Amino acid sequence: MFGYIRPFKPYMRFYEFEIYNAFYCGLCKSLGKNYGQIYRLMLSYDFAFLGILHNAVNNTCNKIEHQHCIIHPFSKKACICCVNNLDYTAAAAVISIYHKVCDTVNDSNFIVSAFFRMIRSILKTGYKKAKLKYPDLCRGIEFYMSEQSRIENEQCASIDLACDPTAQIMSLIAQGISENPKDKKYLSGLGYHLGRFVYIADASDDLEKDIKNGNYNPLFLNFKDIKEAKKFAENNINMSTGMIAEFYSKINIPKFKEIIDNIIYLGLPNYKLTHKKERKKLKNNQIDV
Amino acid sequence: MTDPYKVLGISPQASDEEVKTAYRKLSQQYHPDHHTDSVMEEIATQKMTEINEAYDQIMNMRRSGSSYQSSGSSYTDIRSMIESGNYTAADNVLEQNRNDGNAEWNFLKGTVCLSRGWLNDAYTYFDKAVKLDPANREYQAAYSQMQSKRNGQMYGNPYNTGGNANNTANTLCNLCQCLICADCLCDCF
Repeated sequence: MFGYIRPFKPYMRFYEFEIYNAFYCGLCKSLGKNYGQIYRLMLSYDFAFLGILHNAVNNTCNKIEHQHCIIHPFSKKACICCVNNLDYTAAAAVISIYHKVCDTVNDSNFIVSAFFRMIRSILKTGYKKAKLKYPDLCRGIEFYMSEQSRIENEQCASIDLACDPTAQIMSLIAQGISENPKDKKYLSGLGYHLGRFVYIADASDDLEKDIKNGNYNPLFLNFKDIKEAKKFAENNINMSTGMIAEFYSKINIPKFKEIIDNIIYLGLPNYKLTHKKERKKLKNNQIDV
Repeated sequence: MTDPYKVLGISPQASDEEVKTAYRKLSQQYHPDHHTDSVMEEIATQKMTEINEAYDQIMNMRRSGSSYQSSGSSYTDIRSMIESGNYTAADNVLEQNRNDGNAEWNFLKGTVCLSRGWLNDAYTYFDKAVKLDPANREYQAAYSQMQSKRNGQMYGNPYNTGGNANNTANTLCNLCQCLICADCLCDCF
């Protein structure tokens, strides 16, 4: 989960953006209330999408309330207040964040690792709570996390195998959204390709950095030329977004369809404009008008 | 099923070139675009499907030659496994009879990969299947679907206005880049 799944703001209506932000705030509050304040600092926008998708597929009733918040102490922010509807998403976020921190502990040098070890110990109580509520999801994610590190240690060159664990994790999380077996099937496919998309987009962004530091990157193992590797990543990302659209079109979305349409059909293909790290790269360049 | 040679109006001893000529002649004759009348169009479409099927069948039989009789049945089995959703079993059989010089093998392997979400592998196998057998419409369809996704096509896209996709996308992209830059300036929350 790296914050690649975001809406494309120029094409969003104001009220849609408000609802989207309200989901993020609601999720953030729900995390603080149920799993510990520190999780709130690590929440990514990917989970706001998951929260909306959850509420859209299940057609749940939501109330927006204007509440105070630590980050915005003087102005009230719109916030989804029926936290029950966001409980699954919050738990999924907790589990993913915890494993991401574990991953950083294992992969980093001594000093960074020590810092994240400390964070991990704070996160542990929240993680245990989430594990009690969703033990199967937890076990699945733990398994695929170990697969991920195995593949990285093996220096696997196949792009499909390299993104499989991340994709499987997202698939597990996404299929938990619905109880309906038909929707579950499509959500699982949608999640798989979301995970694949995120993994490849991240590998493509980190390519230069990974080459410099000698880290594992499946793109670099296939192509020695950066331009070629980026083109290859682009093609693979496009194939995944194509699959996402195909699965998405089969799921019945009674609510928030326009917001999700925006994220899937505009946000994903334009991730270079919506993602923070990528946007910085663009800002330095002049853009043709 | 009707004899494919009868559909094309040729004898089973006809050469590959003769089969192709007969196919081309018939497909031109029955092409739905040539028939504006709705009843005729329907008949023509139906006839076209028959002709295509017959042609594919003949070509498949000829290409695989003698090996068709021996390994052809196992490919049919794999196909039915894939259709019933039993991908792991299908993959096992495919791996046991590894034959990447065969178009059908590549196509089936690509289908299994696609079902698992391994898109890059699927694309490579479909590509190979089409290269080995350019006339097969099934392989062609699978390959061109992947190709259009690779080029950024998204099914059911409500923002797609049609027209020249590439050009529209470029203009849209430029427009959006401007908008987002403007947005960065005023969006201070």
